[in-house]
Amino acid sequence: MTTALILVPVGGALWVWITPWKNTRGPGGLALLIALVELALWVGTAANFDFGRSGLQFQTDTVWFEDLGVSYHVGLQDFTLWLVGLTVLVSAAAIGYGFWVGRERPGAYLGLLLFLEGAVIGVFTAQDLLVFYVFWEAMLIPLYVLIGVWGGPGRLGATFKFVAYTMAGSLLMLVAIIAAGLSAGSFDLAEAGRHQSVWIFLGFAAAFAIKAPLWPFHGWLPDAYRESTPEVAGMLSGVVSKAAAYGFLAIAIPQFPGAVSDWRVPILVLASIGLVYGSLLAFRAPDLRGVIAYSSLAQMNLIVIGLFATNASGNDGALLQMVNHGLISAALFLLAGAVERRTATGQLGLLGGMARGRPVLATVLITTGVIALAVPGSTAFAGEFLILNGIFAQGWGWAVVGAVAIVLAAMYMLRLISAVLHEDVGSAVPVEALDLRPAEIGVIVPLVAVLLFLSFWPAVITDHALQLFGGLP
Amino acid sequence: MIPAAWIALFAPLGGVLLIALLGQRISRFHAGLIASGSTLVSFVCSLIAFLALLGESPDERAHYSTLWTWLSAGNFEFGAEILVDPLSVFMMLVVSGVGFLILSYAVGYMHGDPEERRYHAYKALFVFSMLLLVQSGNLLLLLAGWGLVGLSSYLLINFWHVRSTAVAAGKKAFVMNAIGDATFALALFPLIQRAGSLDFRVVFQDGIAEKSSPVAVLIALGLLGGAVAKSAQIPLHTWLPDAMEGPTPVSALIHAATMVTAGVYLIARTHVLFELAPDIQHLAGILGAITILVAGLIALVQTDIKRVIAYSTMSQIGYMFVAVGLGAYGAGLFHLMTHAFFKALLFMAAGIVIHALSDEQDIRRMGGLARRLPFTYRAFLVGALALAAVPPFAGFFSKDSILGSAANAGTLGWALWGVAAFGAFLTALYTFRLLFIVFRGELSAFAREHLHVPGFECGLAMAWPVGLLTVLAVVGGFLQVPWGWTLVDDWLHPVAESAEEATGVTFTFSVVATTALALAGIALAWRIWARADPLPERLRRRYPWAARTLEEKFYFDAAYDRAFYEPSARSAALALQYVEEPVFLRSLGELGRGVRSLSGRLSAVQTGSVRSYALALGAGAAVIALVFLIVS
Repeated sequence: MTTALILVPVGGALWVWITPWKNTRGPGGLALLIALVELALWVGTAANFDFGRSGLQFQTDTVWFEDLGVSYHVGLQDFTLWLVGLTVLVSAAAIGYGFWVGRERPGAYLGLLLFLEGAVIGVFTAQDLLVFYVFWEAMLIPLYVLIGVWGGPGRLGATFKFVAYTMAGSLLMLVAIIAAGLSAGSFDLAEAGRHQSVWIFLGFAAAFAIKAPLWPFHGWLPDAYRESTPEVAGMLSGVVSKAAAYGFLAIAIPQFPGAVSDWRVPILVLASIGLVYGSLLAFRAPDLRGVIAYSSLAQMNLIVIGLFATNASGNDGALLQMVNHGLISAALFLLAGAVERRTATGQLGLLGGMARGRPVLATVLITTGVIALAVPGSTAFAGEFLILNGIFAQGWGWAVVGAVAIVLAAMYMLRLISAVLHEDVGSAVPVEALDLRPAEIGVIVPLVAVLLFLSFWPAVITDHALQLFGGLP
Repeated sequence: MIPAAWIALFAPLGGVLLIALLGQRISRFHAGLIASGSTLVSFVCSLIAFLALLGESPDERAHYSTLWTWLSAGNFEFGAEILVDPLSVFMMLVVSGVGFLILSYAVGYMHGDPEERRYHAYKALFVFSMLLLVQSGNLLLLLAGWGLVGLSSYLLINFWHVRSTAVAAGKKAFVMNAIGDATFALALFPLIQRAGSLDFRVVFQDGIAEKSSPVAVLIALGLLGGAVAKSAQIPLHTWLPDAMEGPTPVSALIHAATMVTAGVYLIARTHVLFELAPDIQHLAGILGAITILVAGLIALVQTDIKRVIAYSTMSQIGYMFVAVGLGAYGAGLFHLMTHAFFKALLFMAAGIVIHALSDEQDIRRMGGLARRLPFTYRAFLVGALALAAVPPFAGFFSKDSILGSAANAGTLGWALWGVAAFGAFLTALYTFRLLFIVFRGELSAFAREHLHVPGFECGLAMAWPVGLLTVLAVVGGFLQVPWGWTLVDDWLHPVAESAEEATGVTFTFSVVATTALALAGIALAWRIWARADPLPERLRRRYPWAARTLEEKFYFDAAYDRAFYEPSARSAALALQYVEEPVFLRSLGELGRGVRSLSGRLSAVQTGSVRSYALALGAGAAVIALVFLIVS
């Protein structure tokens, strides 16, 4: 089952890419179909998943290089099931949106998106460090091409930065993996046991910190999010950044308890700075993508804060917030794409007044926006509340910083909502600009619907979090 | 009773979904009916719950019910849990009862607005949120309702989102309330740490914290921060007057009758935690007293009919804060109820005036409307008499309950009594200033030109809720009568024991003195504004600084801009200019150019393919790994 979840998008990617299409809508239709099959496969997996049992399910474990102790070992745990679910849903939305918009060379474009989906699922399910690394690289390479070929006017600079940063991170992680595997005699996550080496921990942490990104490793982020297509930006911030948070959650923190407790405070300091810094810049950003990009920076740093609270509350809150933020930022980037298509700009100063006559756009944007700013009662509130409660146990000062950021989040999200929807009609907004089209509704509303469902029942996620820490939070 | 309470909670949410999903398939009128009808369902269910509680002995009147686990972490859980007890039922009745009247009124008031459906959906969303707030059985869900009422308030303040003032007012209200939400949330963390739960039954147990210990103080302070922001008490009050940008029924329901009084409910509900930090509880009373004074003074110079009433709302909630700050929970909640009646009445009457004058809100353009709008005038007069606490109108009984309790609470009590008694004078003065300017005298020139009175002043849809509230503003006070009975205190007794009111001569003095002050205020208002006396002009010329201070609303807005908004905007700009741009955005761009020109020169080595980079990476990594192994 797990292998099928990886192979369907990867195999589908090859199918979409290799087929010599005559019909221009052919690759899009096939890619969307594959994405939906993958979604159905996930639903089937979830339905057959035994939530009463902890540990790995639907495992595949085949020896790969016996001498090196490498095996193709993949499997699902209850909490990774949610991350995979996030991936298949956001990917389906991204592929559907890309299909509807119609990109150049759709076969290659959508094939790469499918490949990316399969690679991310591989990252979430790999139980062997080398397999994890293979998927990690397989996740980054399509992104280089997706940004560098299909991006906006500044795509080359954006791609260069993205490659430079992530290559550096990958290199350090590879070193760390080799060192960890050779010293433990096995690359398997379950068998490897706990490591004492601070250096190996830092190797992993650097890769995850860059990809998340943790402040100050975010230099690649603004350009990458601004220059890529909306659906790629949605995948990047919604799903790929979660792979980094997953790395902390499933590898760096459980495998290196000693190093984590030594490095907790410096990492929390950086993440706290990133949280406030990202929020402030989101408040100042002149464009839609800028606001979403910097708010993503802030949110990812908040998730890191939750992870490094190293208790049940912070851990569970971080997992919930990973799912929430994945859905929120994907929906926001697709909405930004919808606005940019109508107005040919993302500059907030040129937008405005779009609510009139466009009730669906207004309703969906406001709903997503208020969940993004974590209005009490929403699932994002539930996640942030647990994170701050967790970090409160490490010292009340951290929680106060987080609370300040919550106020800032209200400021930047309301600014975005009003700049697009309210007051006078912006100079770039044509009178005839349409409300959301059925296709746009079809890709964005499911994301928002899941967010609303989670607002009624966030415990569906937190009840099945990784149990790293027992006892009261 | 429990099923009825759950239905009461979810009926308005069902209304929201119905209106949203049916969209244009139903008429605007039917959308309004769905909203008010679902609130009526809530009211009937609240009545059922009330009657069921009435049939039980007072000690048994607390029923918790959990439908599902809302949120969990590790091995502890927060349930989707409601509590049916005298306090929650009391609030449910006020919220759904007054809510139903105002939603019915709004069907008439909003008739013809192009986005009427959205309006009714938001309004029903508000009723759901408010019921969640008062019915919740744990502090986390209470906070959820707390945030959602703030959200619906935001959505309704900027309902007419073409107006930039409305958009700004909505943002301001949301952000100030977000500050309160944040301090509220911070107060919950130490409780979770100590109790492992936020369930009322656990949190309100004895020994959750040492009396007056730092933790107890911080918990109470955090809760008070939330209460002060939500109830627009000084220093987090500046959003409420601006919130008058919303449609008038919104002002009546959210910014007068229900949401803004949530802070009073919160303090009464968590009174156990406040009693562990008496200094903070007293602080609540002191802030309330300051608000009575400041808001009452500002109301004297306001020229917008709704803003005058908004400042009066702030000052009346100040009375409630004085009450709960001194432990007189029954008196505070009693005033909450009567205030809901007469303040909703005043706003709805003002709404009829605004409608009749083609949406004009400036009282300097009004005048002499009594003869043209006799029904509205009488309703407004009853509301004004109740607000000014003239016997036997509703406000008299509740305000004197509060003052009677203050007179029995030692030195601090007497200090607050003094402020509140002077506040009673101010209240009568600004209320009747408004009434005389708007309704008495000759018909103003503007009114002559623009007054447009349809068949019956406002139409039946708007008239009957106003009529019913007029009756309630007259008889609503008889629940608690001096020297008679104390039904509200008795009803709430199982939840919170209210501080005793003064008795005998002290109480008589309190009643007589405040009534005399109120009557003096009315008389002075009559002397000045019913006869266009030049006194205000003379005072203004003589003390220009005082007039300016009042008109600038004691400079709170300007001070907050300078103290909070500008620094955060400036630090964001500095971060962008001096950190983000040069360090993160440009430096790598330079590096990129450098690498590219270097690679141009080294083109012999550079093959340009991703594969060779990957190979180089792998080789480099292997070398470093080897070094690691040798070292370790």
